[in-house]
Amino acid sequence: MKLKELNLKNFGKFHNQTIRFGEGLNLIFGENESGKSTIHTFIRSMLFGMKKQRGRASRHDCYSRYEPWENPAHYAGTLRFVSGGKVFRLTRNFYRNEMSEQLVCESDGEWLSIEDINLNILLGGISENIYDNTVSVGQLKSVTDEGLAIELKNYIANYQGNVDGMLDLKTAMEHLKNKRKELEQRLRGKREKQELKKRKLYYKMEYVQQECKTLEENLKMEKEQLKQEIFHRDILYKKMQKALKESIKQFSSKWVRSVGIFTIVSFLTFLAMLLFFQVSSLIIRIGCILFILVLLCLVVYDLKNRKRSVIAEEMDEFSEKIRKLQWNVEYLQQEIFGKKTVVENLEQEYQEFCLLCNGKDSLETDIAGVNLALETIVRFSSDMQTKLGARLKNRMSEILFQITEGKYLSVFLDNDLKMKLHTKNYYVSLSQVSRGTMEQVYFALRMAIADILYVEDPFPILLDDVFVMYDDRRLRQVMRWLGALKRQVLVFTCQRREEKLLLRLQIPFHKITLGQAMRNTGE
Amino acid sequence: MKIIHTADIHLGVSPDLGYPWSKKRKEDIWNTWKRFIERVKLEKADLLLVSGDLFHRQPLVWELKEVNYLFSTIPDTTVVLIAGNHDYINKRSYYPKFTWNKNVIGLWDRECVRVSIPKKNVCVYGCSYYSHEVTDDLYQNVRPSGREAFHILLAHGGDEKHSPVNRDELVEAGFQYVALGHIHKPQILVKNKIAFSGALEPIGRNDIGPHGFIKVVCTQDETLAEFVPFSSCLYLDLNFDVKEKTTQFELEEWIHKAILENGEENIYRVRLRGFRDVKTEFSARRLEQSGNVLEVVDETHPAYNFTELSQIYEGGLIGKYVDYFAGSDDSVRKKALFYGIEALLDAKREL
Repeated sequence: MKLKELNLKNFGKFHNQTIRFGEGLNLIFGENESGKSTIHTFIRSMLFGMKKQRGRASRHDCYSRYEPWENPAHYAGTLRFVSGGKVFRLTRNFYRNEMSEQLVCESDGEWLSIEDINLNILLGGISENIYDNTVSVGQLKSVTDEGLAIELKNYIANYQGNVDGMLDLKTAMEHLKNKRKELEQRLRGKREKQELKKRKLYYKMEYVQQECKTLEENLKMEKEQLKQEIFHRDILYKKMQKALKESIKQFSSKWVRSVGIFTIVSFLTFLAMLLFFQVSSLIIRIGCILFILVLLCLVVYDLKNRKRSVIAEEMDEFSEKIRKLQWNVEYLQQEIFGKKTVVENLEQEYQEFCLLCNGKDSLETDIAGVNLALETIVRFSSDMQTKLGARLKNRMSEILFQITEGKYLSVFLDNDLKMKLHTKNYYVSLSQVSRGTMEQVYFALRMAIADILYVEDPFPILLDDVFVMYDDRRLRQVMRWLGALKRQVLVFTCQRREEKLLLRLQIPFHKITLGQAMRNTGE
Repeated sequence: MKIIHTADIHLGVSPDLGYPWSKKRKEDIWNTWKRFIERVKLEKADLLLVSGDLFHRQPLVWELKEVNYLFSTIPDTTVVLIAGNHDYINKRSYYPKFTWNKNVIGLWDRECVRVSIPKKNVCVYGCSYYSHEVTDDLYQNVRPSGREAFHILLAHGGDEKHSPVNRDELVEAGFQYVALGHIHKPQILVKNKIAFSGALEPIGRNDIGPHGFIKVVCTQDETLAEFVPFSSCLYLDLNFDVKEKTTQFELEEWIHKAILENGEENIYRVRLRGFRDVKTEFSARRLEQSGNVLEVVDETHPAYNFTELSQIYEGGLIGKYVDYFAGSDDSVRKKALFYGIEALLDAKREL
């Protein structure tokens, strides 16, 4: 890709200014405050648009800085460039209320839309970040941003000679991590629900177990009581037996007496009957005797029972109590038996549910899939990085070797683009070298990346006063290197050193003097 | 002679624990059992065979009382019970201790016994489980004997851990009919001779399809056995072929319609297949909320053309990624492919 022509309709201090670029090396000379940086910014704004920041930050942003002094409503410009052999014209209006852009292919008169990736494709898929960090080198900004290391990784991942679109690895990883989080959350939700159910089952089980325990305790108490009652009854029984014996004994002693009395009484009665009533009938006589005998028996029986009946009553009470207790014990035993079955059933249910819960959820496959995806992407990208890293290192070493005239033989790069330099005899870390050399190292890195990333239709290189710290020898080397480069280079400078060198080295270049250019377009 | 053969009623089970219909299903199973006994009465069956797993767990006394009451309503039918692997007999079991009605015969022995029912001129054989698993073939050595006209075997099991049943041996044994239980899906192993009645009601997510009992009519010359669908509810699979243009609302509407068509009393497993639009992701949660939906299995894949992707990004990370996973049947690798490509392509577009 090559820049052909800029038209700054109204941008900063420029007003209807046209700048034409040639192929190869372009030297844009201008004294301080002649607007070199403005042009730099203009190109950037044309390519990537310019967003006005809001609020306080807006006071110092690009928009405000280059807002035209007069007529801010015509904050606009045109950029013509060549891409893939066709000429395109890109027009933008930066004015915040009428922001608009227009892309026309002049070669075949086609109108293209910027919103789609059309412009991005034309620019060779370059992103703002990579633009800032490689091809466009601003004043005192040779050191690359942290962003470059990440960008580089992305580019390496994406690298395939001619990429038609850019892949942001960080976004991809983020995407996958978010996915994993979401899946994990869903799984957790499910598991929590199951856990709740599980706990419920468990409590139920525990509750019945507790019931069982209480019942068992009751049973124990009842049994104890039963034992006591039986014990008491036995004592009573013995007592009764004893009482019975005693009464019999008593009775037997009484009996002798009674018999005596009885014989006397009956005899007397008999005599009385014979004497007083002179009853002759045998039947009546026998009847009388029988009557008396029955009477006597009753008397004896009463005597015998009087003592025993009290104990028997007590005994009956005991038996009733014991029978009740026995019923209770039996009932409790049955109840416990039943409850134990319930507990066993619940235990089974709990176990079955646990088994169900421990089973693999389909979400787990998804999570495993996401993890595998993450792993694989990281592995592949680092594989490719290693491969490309080697190429990058070689290219960078080449550039640095040429600029420093062989002082530094090679560069070592780690994943975060931290570097070590290798001279003939020793290694030095970047912090040990001079400011000038450091600038050269980063310059080499930027150029190497730009070289490796855009092989076909390379993007122009913009260098804004980057050679201030270079001594004459190294500047000469850089100029040589730039001159041999087969791509468009825009060197912005406020010094005459470069021009003199280029003339002396007989390197062809296109010169643009900013003060003059201004006058030129004024016509 | 008319025989009704059932098994695996699983009284007392709470199907699909954690789902809103779990309680209702538990009641349904009891109600269907009651309805079933009424049907047996209507059919004037001579014999009701329950080939195990009448209960899901150890039955409690009150549960047995309920069942026994229902049996008492069919005094002319002789009921034959065995215990299966779910309600197997242990020291606590009430099965043998319980005082059953006169018309109930429980074959509670550990080994096969023969019980003759003279008034029906039939002889039944069978035994009960005494543990959750029985790896021996319990019915290996049972052969019909005696002068009765009909000989019928009740058996429970049929897989590795539950008395593996040897079909050929059973045929050879020469019973008029073998009433099998344990496998919930009704299936006739040998026409008119050996059959799993299947569960009376579906018990869970795996019991897809019709459920009911088997009606067997035995005469001296032949036996006829046929399956009679009886369950109050079915578990059905709904398959949907997703296309690229399919949307969430479309799916929801389709499910709603399908449920109306196939019966609102049924429970559904929804399976989504096919290729969905790359940017669409169906919310299974929303679909599951449409009621009666047990689970939604989303087997759809984003409609990526991997051959094309592999060509476009040949040599790049995406190309390499596609080639690495393409053609794999492993479910995790498949998922990794889809998720990875989704993320990578998404990251590409954002720039």
